Amino acid sequence: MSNDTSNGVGPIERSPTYLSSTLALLAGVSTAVLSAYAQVALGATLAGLLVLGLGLGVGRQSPVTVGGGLLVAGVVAAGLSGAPVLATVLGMTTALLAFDLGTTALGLGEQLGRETPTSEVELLHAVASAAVGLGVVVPALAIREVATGGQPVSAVFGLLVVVLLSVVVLRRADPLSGRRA
Amino acid sequence: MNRRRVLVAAGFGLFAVSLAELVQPGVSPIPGDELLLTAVGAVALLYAVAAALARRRTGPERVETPDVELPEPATVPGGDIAAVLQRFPGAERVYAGAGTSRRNGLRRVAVAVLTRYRGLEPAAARQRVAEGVWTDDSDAARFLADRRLSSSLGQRVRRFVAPDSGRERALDRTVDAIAAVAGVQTDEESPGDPETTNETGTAHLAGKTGVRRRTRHWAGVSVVVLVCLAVGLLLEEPGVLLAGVVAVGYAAYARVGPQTSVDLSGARSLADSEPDPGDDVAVTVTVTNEGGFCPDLRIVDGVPESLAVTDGSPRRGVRLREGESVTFSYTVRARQGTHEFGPTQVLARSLSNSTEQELAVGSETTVTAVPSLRPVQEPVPLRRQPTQYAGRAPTDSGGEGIEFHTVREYKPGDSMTRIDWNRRARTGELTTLEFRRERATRVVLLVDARSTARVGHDPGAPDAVERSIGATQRVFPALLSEGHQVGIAAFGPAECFLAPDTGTSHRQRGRDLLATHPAFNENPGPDETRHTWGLRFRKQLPDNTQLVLFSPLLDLRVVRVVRTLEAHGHPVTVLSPDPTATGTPGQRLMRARRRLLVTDLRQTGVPVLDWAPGTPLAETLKREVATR
Repeated sequence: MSNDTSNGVGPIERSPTYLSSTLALLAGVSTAVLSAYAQVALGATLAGLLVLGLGLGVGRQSPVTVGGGLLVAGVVAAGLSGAPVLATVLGMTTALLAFDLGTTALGLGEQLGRETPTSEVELLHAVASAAVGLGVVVPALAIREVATGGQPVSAVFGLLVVVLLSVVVLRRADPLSGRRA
Repeated sequence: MNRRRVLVAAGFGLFAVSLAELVQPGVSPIPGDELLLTAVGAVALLYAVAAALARRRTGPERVETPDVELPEPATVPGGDIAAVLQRFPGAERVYAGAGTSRRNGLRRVAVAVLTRYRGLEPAAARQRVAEGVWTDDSDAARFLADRRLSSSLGQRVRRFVAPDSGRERALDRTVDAIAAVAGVQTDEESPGDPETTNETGTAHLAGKTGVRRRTRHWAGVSVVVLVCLAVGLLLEEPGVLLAGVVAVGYAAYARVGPQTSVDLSGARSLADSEPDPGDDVAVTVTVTNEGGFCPDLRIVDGVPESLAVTDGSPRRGVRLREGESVTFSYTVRARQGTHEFGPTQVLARSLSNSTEQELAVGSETTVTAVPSLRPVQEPVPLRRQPTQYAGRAPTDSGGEGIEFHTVREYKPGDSMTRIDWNRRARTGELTTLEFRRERATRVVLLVDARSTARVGHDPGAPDAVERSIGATQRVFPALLSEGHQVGIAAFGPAECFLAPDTGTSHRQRGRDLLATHPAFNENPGPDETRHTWGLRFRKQLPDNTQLVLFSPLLDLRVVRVVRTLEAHGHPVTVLSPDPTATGTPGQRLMRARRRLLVTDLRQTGVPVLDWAPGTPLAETLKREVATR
């Protein structure tokens, strides 16, 4: 028979990509370390890390989302239990990074497969996301340091309203109509 | 939009004032009150709850990419029992619906099968079915019986607990019992995996090309912001508040982050666009960025559904700067026929992952693999039908030849070599030996290429049409070299007829036709062959032409075609690649149905060569020649 269909490569492995998964887990571990100021907080972040790892292991989005949520909750708990501001802020950055990179790993795995070379894209996403986090953390901490006479309530109030306004605006913003580079 | 601008402007103004207040307390006209802060916290909390509740879908949404590496799997016939019951030979008026009608259909089919295989009169068969004594399987017997038969306790419990599953089970067992009467056993080799039987490959580009859509990659970040604000304010924790600010940064990144205007061009080159079947062909794909920086391009090349990737990957994830291009290559195994590469599918994501644009770049490329003809070594069992040309097909009339036919009285003019000298010596009588006259015949190889024939016993194996074409490619040169005039035609919606002829150029024409004609290489889809097909085909067919039909013999239409051709003086030999499997009850019923059709044809005197998968063609031919 001339119609030989065997010896094909076979269906592609659509599991999350290794690089982004590893980076996501590293971010999760950092979150756990940064939240180690209270048992509740550490427990929540470790649970989040576990669920995130599980989600990346089986290649499902919902555990990754839940794991990211647990990491965030752990950071908030650490902040409430007297963790330094720097640790809380960095912890939040790494928690969101873990969720972001985990989701990136899932998306790339689903669309291109684990075996496809995608590292340059993954690294770019990771660097960009980390830069965004640092780009917010550094000025925020700087403002906090610059404030000379403690933190007047009126200023804090004003800034909070600014943040709230920006959330309202951002939730209405459509990423599709964003500015074109 | 205007409201949004006002909000943004107000935000910036407030931000500036607050900064000034931080550096130089007392500048701001804003009142500072702990109570106000708590109120803002409460508002944030409410907003967070509302935002969380308003999220209809949770996860990110992505464009799915097809499994281009795999060839389209063949469909195993018999996925739908109702469809198999429809037009079951001998039970034509079967109404295939749900519930009792399906039971009625099965009754008719059971009667039909009992009539054929047990030699019962239809009335007797009907009675047996009604009484439930036609099979040993009590579930099956009860399912088709007229009155309720006593059932065991276990069966009653099962019916009580799960009435629906019990009915489905009884249906399956009945189907199996009917198939068993027709000689189809459950434990026969069953390559058909029920999980994969009904799936067909979808290698088409998903979604609309060029549309940018959001991926919801960052879904949930604004909820994190609001929760942090609310908790931080209500519990007066600056760290948590600042953490909320971090999340705002990500929300902004997701919503208003840089968007790329994507402008790509693609090119594909093949190492060999006319390979031999079975050869590995290297495919090189180049995608060039004609627009701005693209941070994330997910490229999937449009490998034809019919080809398998044997080495490398037709996928790549890259970032491309302006004017940059990426080149990658992979290998496909060529199969006979013309295969078209589709455009390359590209998913362009923004840096923040929040939008995704699907594009199709590059042109279509074609690869054509024409096999060299390898004539089958065994003689092809043709029907007796001579032309005036000398050839190798034995006829029923005596004359010159090799094989002994009859003895007749000597007539003056008979060749001396044909006089029976032994007899002359013994009795003194002068007799002439007659040999079987060998003549060439005119044959048209007819391939059933309808979409209903595009089924196979295993999703990974070639379907019946591919096997038929493969067999035609071997029978065609074999018959030509025996001196016959051979033509080729397709039974299907696409017109294809090569009139019987001989000669080297004709051989070449047939070879190209089989490999590249769309009638053989493209799935015509569900639209059926026209009802006038038989009439038009007979008009093209020269007189004194016999046919070799390659068909899986799955429906009554092809049987009717055979009978009509026979009635018009065109003897037909059927070579039938068996596409049926025994993985599910439906598949077993399909095998039983096909057996009935084969038996029917054989009873009308049409030789049917049942070609099981895995058996070499030569062996099937040899067996047929031996039994004649």
